[in-house]
Amino acid sequence: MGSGNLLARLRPFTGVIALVVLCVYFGTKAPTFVSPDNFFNILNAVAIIGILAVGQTFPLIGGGFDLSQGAVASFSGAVVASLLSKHGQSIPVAVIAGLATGAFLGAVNGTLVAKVGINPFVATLGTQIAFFGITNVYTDNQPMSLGTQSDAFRQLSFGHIGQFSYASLLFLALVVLLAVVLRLLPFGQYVYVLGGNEEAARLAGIPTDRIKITTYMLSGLLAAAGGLVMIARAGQASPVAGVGYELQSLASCIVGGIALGGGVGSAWNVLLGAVTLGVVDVGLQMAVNKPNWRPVIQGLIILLAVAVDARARARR
Amino acid sequence: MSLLELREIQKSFHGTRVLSGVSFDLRAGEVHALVGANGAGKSTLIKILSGAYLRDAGEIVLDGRPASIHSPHDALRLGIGVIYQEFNLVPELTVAENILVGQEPVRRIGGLLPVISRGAILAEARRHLEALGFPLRAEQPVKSLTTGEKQLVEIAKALHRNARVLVLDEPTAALAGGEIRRLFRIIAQLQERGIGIIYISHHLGEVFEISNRVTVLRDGRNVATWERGAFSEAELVQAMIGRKVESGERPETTLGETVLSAEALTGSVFRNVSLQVRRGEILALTGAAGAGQTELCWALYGAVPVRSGTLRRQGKPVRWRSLRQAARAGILLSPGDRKAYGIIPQLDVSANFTFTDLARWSGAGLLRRGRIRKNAEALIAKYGVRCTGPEQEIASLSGGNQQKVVVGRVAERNASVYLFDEPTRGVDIGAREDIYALIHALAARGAGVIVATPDIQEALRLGDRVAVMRQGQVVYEEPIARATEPAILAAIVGGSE
Repeated sequence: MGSGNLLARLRPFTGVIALVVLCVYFGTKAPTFVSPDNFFNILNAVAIIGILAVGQTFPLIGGGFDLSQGAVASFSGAVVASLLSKHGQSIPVAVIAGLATGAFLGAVNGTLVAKVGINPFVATLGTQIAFFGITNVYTDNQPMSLGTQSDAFRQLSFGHIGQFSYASLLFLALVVLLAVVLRLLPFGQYVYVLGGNEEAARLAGIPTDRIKITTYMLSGLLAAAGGLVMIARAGQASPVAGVGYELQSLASCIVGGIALGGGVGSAWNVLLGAVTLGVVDVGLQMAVNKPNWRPVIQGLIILLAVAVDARARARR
Repeated sequence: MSLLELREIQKSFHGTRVLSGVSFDLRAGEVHALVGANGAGKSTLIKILSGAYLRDAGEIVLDGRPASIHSPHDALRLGIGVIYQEFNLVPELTVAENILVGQEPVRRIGGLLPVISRGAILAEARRHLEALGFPLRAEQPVKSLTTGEKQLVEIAKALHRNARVLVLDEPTAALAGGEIRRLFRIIAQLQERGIGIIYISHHLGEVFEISNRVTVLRDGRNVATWERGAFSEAELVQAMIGRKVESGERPETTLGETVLSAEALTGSVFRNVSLQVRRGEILALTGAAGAGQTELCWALYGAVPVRSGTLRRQGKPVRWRSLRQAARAGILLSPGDRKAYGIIPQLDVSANFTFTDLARWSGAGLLRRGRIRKNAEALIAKYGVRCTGPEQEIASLSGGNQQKVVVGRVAERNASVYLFDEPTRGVDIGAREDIYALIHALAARGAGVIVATPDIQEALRLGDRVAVMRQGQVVYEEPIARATEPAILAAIVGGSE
């Protein structure tokens, strides 16, 4: 009884314990791993994927997911770059246009899922391919420069307050905002209800389609925000820069403890998941000198996280 | 000697004790009823027996030998078959394929490549069904069967795996009168074959009729085990809920204007239905499962389309274009199938009480968490929901307690018409009276109420008028003073049978 209770009580902290264990391990392998500098380094490294993961959380809790995030980030980034360099627009105008593009593409996803009734996997896989295609057409397969305002724009990634980069601050702020939306707004509660039992929600008169479309719009919006940081960091908009981002953002959510299938998850899960994957990524770079093995270990960690979660759910 | 013995079984969830040392035994060839209020621990005990849950302490003894049951597979192997209310059948497959699923006779081509022989499956299933005397055709697809027939397929499947202990969980909940009689005959036949049956039901009449013994659980403990004839209904009820049940008097109600009426309403399942309900009135709608009551309720609420006919609210024709419209117009539905339509399983009790009405629980665009919590605490007390608190995940509550949350959620909202589809499904006697009182109170407040229920007693108990649906049509409608049970039964079954 006693040990069972202890384990049950520790279960909510499994993720944190795993994170601490990882840090200690990497710390023994590479002494500089556990240091303030490296902490800020990791936070900055996970910012882009973290921002995408904040967006991914909405469709995920709502019972779907968004595989088009990487393509949305790329296309939105290209739109911003072209407005800055080719059309001479100001930074605020370009940023707003980029974010609006992301939200619009998200609305396309949401409409396909909610109104046309296409399965989220198929719908967002289809749009992922199409959106990458549109990006290629739009950029003519060439990286696009940020033009004369490049230095100012790149502050988004390289500017900092204290040791916090703007990008990492943006990520942290969005996590807090996510917590507020999920915990305190009726919309947040509706997303859980939608993911928990869509039929019950529909029968109760909740506008499920509208909420579902909104979750995909938010996913697109935040993918575009991640795209902005991405082009600021690279100094150019490359049409292939966002390839695979959607899987990393999904992985962050899942490692953090958000289940596929909907109805559960919190902002804390996103933060935990993104940071854990960042720690693994940076830790492996510093401690293990075999770059080819890194994805293998990352994949195993994702599987391990999901397996632990599944076992915890099954054992009652 | 006992066929099966459960000794001092204990189980806790998240530190809450659900079973504190329950014992139960079953003899070969007997029907041993297991009764108790919602949350008494019946389902948990059965899930431990079936291997779905692991026990914390206690012993399971089969044929005098300790049985180790760690998974549903173990239970099946040991000859324990559990027939749940929700069936585990593949609708697209035939009766034969469902019975033999996982046990298909295999032929080897060239002594190597195994292939399943359809002919052998069919032959084996036919032989099995014939030996059991079940009126089923082996080649029929399961999706075309009635609920009662599907149940027989489940029983045949369990027996084909040599089940000697059969657990029937609320087996009559979704059956029509004739199918209930047939099930009872089959239970008697199984008893003759020496099969022990654990029978779980909230219908005490059935318990009296078919069981050799009854064991009562309350709060996760044994209260009593009686032989047939050694107890009265009043004693049984008192043992179940720990107090005497008082059937509450209906408050004085005056009937007002007609608040909702249907004229020749036709949908996909119901045809040509005309009915009305007045303010302060309760219309009880009964009939066999699938006779169209649920669809009618849904149509009145705008959840399924109406093909023709007129719906009037307070005399004015209306046509619901969305579910929100009906809700805004003051028509609310409490759905019958709570798992599919009633609860959000991952959310807590508090959220399940409030999610349909969040506007009421927010200020300046923000949810008022404190008030939502306080409200949930009040409702938990008001409706007697057995849980550890507002934060308990609703999926971990017993079915009846979940139902109280669903009904309470609807009753707490203001409306002029309430549609209750099977409001007491899976609810124990004590709580059933509470739900009746609540429905009476809504009518007394001046609302029109329609209650769809397959239970004739309930219809007679609640209704100011009783209507019967058969095959999608209203075939009987009488004020309560003139409604009689035999007439209602005849209407449900129909003249030809």
